[in-house]
Amino acid sequence: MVIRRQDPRALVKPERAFEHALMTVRRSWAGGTEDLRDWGEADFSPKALEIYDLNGEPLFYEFGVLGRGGEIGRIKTAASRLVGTGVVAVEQGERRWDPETAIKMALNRAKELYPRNTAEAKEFVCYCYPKIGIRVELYNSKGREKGSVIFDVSDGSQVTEFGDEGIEGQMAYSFLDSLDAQEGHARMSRYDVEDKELEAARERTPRLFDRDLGKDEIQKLKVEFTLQSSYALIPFYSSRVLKYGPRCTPHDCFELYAQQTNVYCAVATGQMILDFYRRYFDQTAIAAAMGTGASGTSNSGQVAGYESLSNGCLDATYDGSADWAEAKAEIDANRPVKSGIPGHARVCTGWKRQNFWLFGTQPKKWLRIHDPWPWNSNICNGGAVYWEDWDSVTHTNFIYVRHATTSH
Amino acid sequence: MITEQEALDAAGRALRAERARGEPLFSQWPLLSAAAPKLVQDVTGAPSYWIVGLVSGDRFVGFVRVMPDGGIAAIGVTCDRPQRPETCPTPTFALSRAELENFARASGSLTDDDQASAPRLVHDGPPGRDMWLIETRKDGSPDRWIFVGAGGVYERPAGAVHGADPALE
Repeated sequence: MVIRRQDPRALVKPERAFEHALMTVRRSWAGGTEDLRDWGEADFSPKALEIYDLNGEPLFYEFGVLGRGGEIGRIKTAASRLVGTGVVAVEQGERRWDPETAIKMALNRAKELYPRNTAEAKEFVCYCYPKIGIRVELYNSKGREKGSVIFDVSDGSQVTEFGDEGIEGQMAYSFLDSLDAQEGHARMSRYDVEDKELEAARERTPRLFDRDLGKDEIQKLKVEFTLQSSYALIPFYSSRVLKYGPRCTPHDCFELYAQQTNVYCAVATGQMILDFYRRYFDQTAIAAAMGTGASGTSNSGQVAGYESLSNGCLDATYDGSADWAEAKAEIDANRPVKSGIPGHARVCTGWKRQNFWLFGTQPKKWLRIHDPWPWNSNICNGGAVYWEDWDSVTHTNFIYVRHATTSH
Repeated sequence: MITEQEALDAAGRALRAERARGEPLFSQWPLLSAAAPKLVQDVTGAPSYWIVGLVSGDRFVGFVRVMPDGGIAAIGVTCDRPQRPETCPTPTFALSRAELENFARASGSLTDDDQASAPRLVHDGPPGRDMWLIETRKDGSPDRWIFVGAGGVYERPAGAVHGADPALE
């Protein structure tokens, strides 16, 4: 059950939202984002499409980006600080649905389904992000309000399932009401940081927000628009790596070791992870504990090795369906993860994610890898540390190594 | 598959982007540049990706793995000793043919009696496990695969693929 709120709690004014859109587009263009190369000189539609949350609060403003031949894309910005970011999505190409057509379709469907009522289209609602619908108010013959129904903008189908416990992508739910107080506070804090960034950008480059720049002018200003690290508070990427101690001034903390033979990848991976937990063993001892043979090490052997070498103080858990978000969660908890790819083991020690991406595509994601390859009998003279595109390799498994919950 | 020049350009762009972001892996190496790309094959000889070394002075200290479509699969360092760059190990892909054959002979895997192919750069297993592969022949047929890297040498019967047992790493 969604309670409709009359008063928005953390409203962002359209003018402010537009400035976030403008800053993002111009910086991305100036920074050389390939897919936005035509956007620097583009104009914006004068009025935003307002999209509401299911609970009635404004959620997004959508600004059209206009090229020579019409709309070339849209910027979806936050209409509520509770969204947690100024720009939610950059969408390329024409919108796949037309607002006016969608309204007509929704009203026709309402008349078909509720012939004894009159219907009035009230607002666009985001009923299950990123799905958009139209809320239609129904009135009886005496003009009394009977309630509202929602129709999807793409096909006019009525949205009938509500709640946030159902299958992902199937249920309509209020995004804003799904946030608990702590999450809401954190999101508003993040938005406020971006707001400060915007003001810092305005102070440094006032013309970044000038809507009336000519083509020549904007080309001349390109260098100034490029994100300057000295005042950059909103990164284009988010990332995190393992730290020694989470307090005060933590420093990066993980040591790379090479595998001593061509089949000791899991062994050297174990050595790096066990070292992190201050349990020091040479690779011969780890290979023995993991049951490493002439062709390598099994995952069950690795799990047994972590637990036996730590006298049960570490729990090792095999996960045969590796997912980037799972690795991120481990890194966020400041724990290294064994990352398996076909025939090879390495350690994941960090994550990185693109913060802005084009609608219809996936944000790029990376893992920081401490790879024991190339092998070397001198463990200090091999291996590599690198950022790896998550989609560039096949991920077969993770092994999570955590402190045991029982006392030791 | 993109060309060598395209791979070099892609690696250069990736390095500049990492620098612009202030990536700590590269902040310790302020004078990095991209070296000539080398094509890495799978063990059967099919081209897989380009490896582009990152050079500081006369030392290789990092790499960019460029995929056939120009995407960047990985970018990183192989040495974290900028104060003693002379101790940075030479990465496998940067070994010369003479060095490779010396390593193979010194290990006893390659002898004067062997009919040996020219070394080719391969990934023995998943991408990233780069090694030089020398194939020996016996009675006109492939006999052994000798894998040579900066860290050492190992060999298998020709045609035996690493990772054939999916349960082992």
